[in-house]
Amino acid sequence: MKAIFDQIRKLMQPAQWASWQTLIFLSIFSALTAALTSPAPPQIAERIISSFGWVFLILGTWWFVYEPEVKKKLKLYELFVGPWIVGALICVYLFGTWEGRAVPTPTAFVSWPPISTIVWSVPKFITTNPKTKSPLYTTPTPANRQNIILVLLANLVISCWFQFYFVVQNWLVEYPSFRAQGFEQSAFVRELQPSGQRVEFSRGVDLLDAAEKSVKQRLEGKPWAQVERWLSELDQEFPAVRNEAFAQLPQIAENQLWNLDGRVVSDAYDLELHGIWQGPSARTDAYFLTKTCRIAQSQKAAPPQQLQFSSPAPPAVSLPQTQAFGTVQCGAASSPDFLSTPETDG
Amino acid sequence: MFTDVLPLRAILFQLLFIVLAIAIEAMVLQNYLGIGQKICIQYAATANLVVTIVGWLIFFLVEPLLPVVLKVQLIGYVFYDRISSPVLLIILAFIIFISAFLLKLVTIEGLDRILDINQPTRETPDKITPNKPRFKGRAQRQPFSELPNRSLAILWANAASFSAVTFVLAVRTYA
Repeated sequence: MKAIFDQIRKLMQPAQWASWQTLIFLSIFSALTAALTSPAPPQIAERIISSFGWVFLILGTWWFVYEPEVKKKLKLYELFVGPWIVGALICVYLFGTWEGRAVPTPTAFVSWPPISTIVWSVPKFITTNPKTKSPLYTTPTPANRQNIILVLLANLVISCWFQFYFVVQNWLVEYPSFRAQGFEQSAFVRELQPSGQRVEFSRGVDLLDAAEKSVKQRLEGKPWAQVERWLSELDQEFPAVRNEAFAQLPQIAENQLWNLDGRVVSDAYDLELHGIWQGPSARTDAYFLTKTCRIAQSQKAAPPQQLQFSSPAPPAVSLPQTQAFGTVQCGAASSPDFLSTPETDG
Repeated sequence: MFTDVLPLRAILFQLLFIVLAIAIEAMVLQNYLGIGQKICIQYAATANLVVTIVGWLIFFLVEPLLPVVLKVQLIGYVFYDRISSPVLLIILAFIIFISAFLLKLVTIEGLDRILDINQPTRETPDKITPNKPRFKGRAQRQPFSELPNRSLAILWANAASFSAVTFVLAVRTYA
């Protein structure tokens, strides 16, 4: 037990005042002080103090990873990874985190490799003055210059890969339906958990649901004659449904790639709604999703407001007065059907 | 915002192509210029990394500016490997080839300046044959085609590496 405490003490207690432990303690002290400051909105004091905490933490870590024993342990296949740890801290400090402070920002990711390279190359620009033992700027030797150039370039390529990841994420936000068909054929991206075709990613389902809502709003409970007239004039009436359906969807770039189409397929009034994907597809064929809505009439008692309570006759007299109303029943959206030629009619 | 769709395949292909290009270009440069293997690998590595980075930067600059039609085609190519306009792709490949060559030329000149290498190609023939100083006069009258011409060597190196990459892509597409 005593041995363990001694070891901890030895680790904690700096050998001399100028050591990495001192800096880490300063950093912890700053963090505690920052936590004690008033949480009032401007938070100037907190920001300044926590910045000091970060700077001490970065410098302390920097010092720590260059301790000879630590440096030996931090080698990954002959590559000393210490500068990349320090670089990560610098980037998080400079560019912050988001998503509930859990993930560093894209800027932090993209700038991490080059900033780490700068940390890595600093010792090559510094030499020790033999007389005063103070650091001195020096131009690196040509061999070192070549190394710095290659390491910097390689790290910039890695930055580009990070940036490409974020470009792909933006595409998936703006064009989410691309995911519905899986990326097995892609030469660029891979899903960590590939699951082939997944219709739930296709926003065609959302579009058809929105269209269903819009159709129901127009027909449900409306007098049958009005329903029949609407169906017979579907060509004129449908654009309004289309506009309404698209207006209900989140406004993203992908909406332009969808088309909504509706047609009456049987005399019993089956209204078929098609959500047609007009963008690129994993197969040669374009595809569409279908939702079939049965529009039927039902006999219902006339609405209560037609009852003449004021009239001397009892209300029961008017009960046989029934009227035909439209009802709309829609099924779920179908899985994608492939077209050999994309539907042009819109 | 963050999904599990990672550009892993792009990274693997890019690594493969960079290594392939560096190996081939270093070999071609060594054959043409008769200079050391190490400096050839340095030239090839630096030039190819610079070309890769500049290519990415142009992509990142142009991608947000693309009209929707082209952007959708680009996304279709990246996600589904579908080429909707092969002609555009061929024109692009040609432009990329020329720009890569010019950029490599500039990069290697710049690298020489940074590393304080003074015209290694012109001096190398003398260095290779230091024991035959009497041929120095004749060396100046060498036919032009036998003179190590660095630009030409870089052009050949570029052509060789592009051919290799194209070959790999063709195998991937048709095999």
